[in-house]
Amino acid sequence: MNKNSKPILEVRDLRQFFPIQEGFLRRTIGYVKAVNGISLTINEGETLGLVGESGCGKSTLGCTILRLYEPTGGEVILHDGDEQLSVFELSHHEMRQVRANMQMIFQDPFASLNERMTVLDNVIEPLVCNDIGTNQEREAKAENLLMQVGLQKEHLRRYPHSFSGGQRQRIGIARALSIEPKFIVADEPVFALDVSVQAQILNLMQELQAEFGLSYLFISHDMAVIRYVSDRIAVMYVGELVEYAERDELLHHPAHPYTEALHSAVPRLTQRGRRNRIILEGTPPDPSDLPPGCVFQTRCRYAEAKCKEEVPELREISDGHFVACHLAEELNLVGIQS
Amino acid sequence: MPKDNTTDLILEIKNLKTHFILNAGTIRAVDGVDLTISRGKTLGVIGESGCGKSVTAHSILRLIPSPPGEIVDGEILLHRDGEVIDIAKLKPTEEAMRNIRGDDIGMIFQEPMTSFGPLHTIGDQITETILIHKKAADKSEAKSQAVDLLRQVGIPNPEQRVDGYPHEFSGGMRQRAMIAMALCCSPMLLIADEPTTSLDVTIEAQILELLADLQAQTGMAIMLISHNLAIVSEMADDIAVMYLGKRVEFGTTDAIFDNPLHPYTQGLWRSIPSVDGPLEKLVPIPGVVPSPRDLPSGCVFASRCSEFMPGICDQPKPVPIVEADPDHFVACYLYDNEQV
Repeated sequence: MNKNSKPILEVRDLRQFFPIQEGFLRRTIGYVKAVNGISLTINEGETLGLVGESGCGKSTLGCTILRLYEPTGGEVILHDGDEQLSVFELSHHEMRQVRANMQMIFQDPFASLNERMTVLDNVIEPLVCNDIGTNQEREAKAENLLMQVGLQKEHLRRYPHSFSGGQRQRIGIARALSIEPKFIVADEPVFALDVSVQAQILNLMQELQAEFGLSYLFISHDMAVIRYVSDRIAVMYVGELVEYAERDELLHHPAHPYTEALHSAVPRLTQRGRRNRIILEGTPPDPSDLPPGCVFQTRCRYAEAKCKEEVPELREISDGHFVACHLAEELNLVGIQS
Repeated sequence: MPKDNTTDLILEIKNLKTHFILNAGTIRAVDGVDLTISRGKTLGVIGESGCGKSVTAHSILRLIPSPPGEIVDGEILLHRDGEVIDIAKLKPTEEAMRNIRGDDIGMIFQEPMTSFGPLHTIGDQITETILIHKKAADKSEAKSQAVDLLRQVGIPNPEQRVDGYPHEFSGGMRQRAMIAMALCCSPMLLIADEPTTSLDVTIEAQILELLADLQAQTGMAIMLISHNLAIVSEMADDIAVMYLGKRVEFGTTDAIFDNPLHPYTQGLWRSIPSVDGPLEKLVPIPGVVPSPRDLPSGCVFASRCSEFMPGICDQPKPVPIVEADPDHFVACYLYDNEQV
């Protein structure tokens, strides 16, 4: 994988709170802190894997970066050549042009395509919205893209219902690529697919990345998939980034107790029978009613008095390895052995 | 393994065929499947969607809606206290079948969200099962049994939670309650159909741990159906690999993982990423699963197989099942000495 330390996207202290309203006057009585102060950087041509359990805010983070939600606070900077654009300060008109650089691949290939439009119309819709090219140019482009994602140009006139899940996901990818973006948020793109088809899509995404120099924010709950696609991995827990590092560093030398527990819970292919897993008690806290101190302290087996009082900052403990844990240096956590 | 000790056999499935007869044609969802499950063991059944693994499980409990579904051939032999009952011959609604369901064989379903009735408390739903199977003299005794069961599956404060409604339980807790309900008559066999598919990985670890603990305590057999090969590799003693209604390979977990024989099993192994193991490029199985409505006449995997042999694999007759190694069965012409 070609690695380039030039950033394409910077996220700074991003916050996305959803108000909880109650009563006749719809008064706001609290907030669901879905994304609670997240900072990260994605470099050109790289895949940042974002892993976490359901409800941890990983999809909300992806959507907020693309400004599909209006953020509560923070900044997203998109690097376009030497230009730096602050995504949240743009007008609607400017936003359209910026979106041409940022696209999304969705989780459910059965819900993300418009059933009433042909494959052609689905694929060229981003071009139509942004008024790019003539009809002939758009169609020629769609033909090319379809070949690139492994379908035939005869498929252009058909409707999505005649395709399988894997083929639909290929159409979704062709649509995301039609406008030639540099950065793509892929939200669980292989979740609904069978394992043999999953491998086809993962390999396709890697080939396209190499060909077009794409950067991915790859969201998944599946650590094995994340390991396969990512250069760096970020771990989210209840709206916060608890750890991020280079792939192998994060897998083999986790520094946050949640990452350790997550690794321990993942079923292994190479180990038979029972092994000693770290079993996390209970469930994650409610994002509208966070515990004091560290978000993970309610389930952490290493938690000390300090963890219940002070919120740990995300800090760099070694080159490129960030972790939000008071005890990161003291603990000797177990990673995945290969 | 099954052969060495027949007294330990709990369930034997022989040449099971469950077909769905529709106007548009017959779907051969399960088409000649053999399986054996022994006491205290876990049988893993793996395969992609549409391979017939859930239909096999539902056939065992006779939960296939009929019409259109029908067991057209084969035997499902339940070994109980020295007698052998052929479940395939029973009527789905007769009393003998109702007694087997829940009493001898328990089942937990994939969707803990939809498998409980929303209008009754968890406790009522468990006590109902206990009373129907006459495992308790009266309602209060049944309820105290329900509390014990909920405690056994690790639900905190079972005395209070027994009066809770399903919507008050989280996904993991609901799956625990479901396991409690399946266990209330101490079944010999527990069928777990994708028990953790809708759960998060840390919750999944809790549930798998619970199942393994309960098995060690009660000695029940488990039929674990999953598309997640890693879970099956950790939990199962034996594994059956299914593809399009056929059991293409069957053997011990070690044999299936270390020495997979069928090209489909080998293809699966090459196409799944792992968190440990070496980081190699995935090799997908080409093509897609053909429609079960028009299956190929010979080997069902022929259209995607890298070892396809023209004139052999497409012969319009069933593929022979070969015992390639002791207790390691594969349905493939590659291992059939008469053909190659």
